[in-house]
Amino acid sequence: MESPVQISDAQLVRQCLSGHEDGWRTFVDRFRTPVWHVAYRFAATPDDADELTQDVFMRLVNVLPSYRPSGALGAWVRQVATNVAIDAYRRRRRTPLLLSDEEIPEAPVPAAWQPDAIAERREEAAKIRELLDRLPPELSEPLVLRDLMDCDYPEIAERLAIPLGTVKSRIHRARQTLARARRALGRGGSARPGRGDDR
Amino acid sequence: MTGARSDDRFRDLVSALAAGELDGTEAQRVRARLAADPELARLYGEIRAVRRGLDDFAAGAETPPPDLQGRILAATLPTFRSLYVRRTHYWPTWLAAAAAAAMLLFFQPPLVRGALESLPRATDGVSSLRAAANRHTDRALAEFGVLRASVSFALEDQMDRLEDRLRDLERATRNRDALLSDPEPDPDPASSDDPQGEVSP
Repeated sequence: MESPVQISDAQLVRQCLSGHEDGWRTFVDRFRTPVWHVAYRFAATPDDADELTQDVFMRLVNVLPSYRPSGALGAWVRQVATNVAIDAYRRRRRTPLLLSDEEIPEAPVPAAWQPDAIAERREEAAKIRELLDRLPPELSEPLVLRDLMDCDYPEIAERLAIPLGTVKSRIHRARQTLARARRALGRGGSARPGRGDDR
Repeated sequence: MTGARSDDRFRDLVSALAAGELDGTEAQRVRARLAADPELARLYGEIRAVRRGLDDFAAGAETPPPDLQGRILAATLPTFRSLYVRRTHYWPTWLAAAAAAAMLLFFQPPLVRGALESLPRATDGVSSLRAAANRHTDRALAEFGVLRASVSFALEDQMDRLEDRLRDLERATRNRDALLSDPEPDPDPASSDDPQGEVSP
């Protein structure tokens, strides 16, 4: 639903709180995609992402009165979505399979990485996402927030209520564990350090 | 032990380098170490591949399915309506029901008294009452939130208007001060012999 005139965030919330259903339809239309993107990063499957998106909007409809017009509505929606996604992620987590380095079998040196093959990259991405889901939650949660949600370290520390140093060490440990797990699947490859990596 | 800790520290630095989180000097130091340590270099390559995989995964999220909007609305509209659409009629109904219940319990006419005495004193009754009370509390809290938000918006509007008015007043004050301090332009330049441009008494 595309409205000819884009109303402001504050006006939109005001409409919703006044009971205008069109306002809520516009709200859903405006934030459906960014919320779904947050859900997609936390969900195991696209279907889970759809369901999680609905859960987020259920939360939003209930907490809408707590929005303060002084802040950006999009950032507020994203924050609510992330909180709901983290809660859901914790609930659905399976038993961790990759608990320690010792449990990861060594593998032979793998075949070379082929960056041109799109299908292979998609497969690789899906495999890494699956491996990420098998990490212990205390490792995977900060890594999802950092490497999939682009949150900065202080924000992650605040969100997960853990010290900043712990956040950093867990993220580094999560990346190393994923790298070793990937190697164990025969997907490891040697790569030389590039010069354009540092920010 | 110290060596192991140092190795751990360096692996963390390799992770940070692979994620592009190191500044120039430190990145140079880590790269120098990678050049001399094939195992660390391999770890670096693997972490880079993991990062790329995660980036690819995130980039794969393009658009949600087209019917998602309808599903979200189907799931949320009943709650939306119950919370916001009928709220102007909600308080009187709720208050009337509460008042009627209070009256009945207080005066206990014979019929009600008999009905109350015939009620089983089971915990189920208490549970259902508690559940009903919780529902009412939730609704009341939601209503309170709506009222609070409405007041917040109204106050913000008033503040905006006051700020506009204040700006107008400041502008008017400045104009007045300027008029009072500047000399009146003399319609006849020949009669003006005051080099300071001050107004003669």
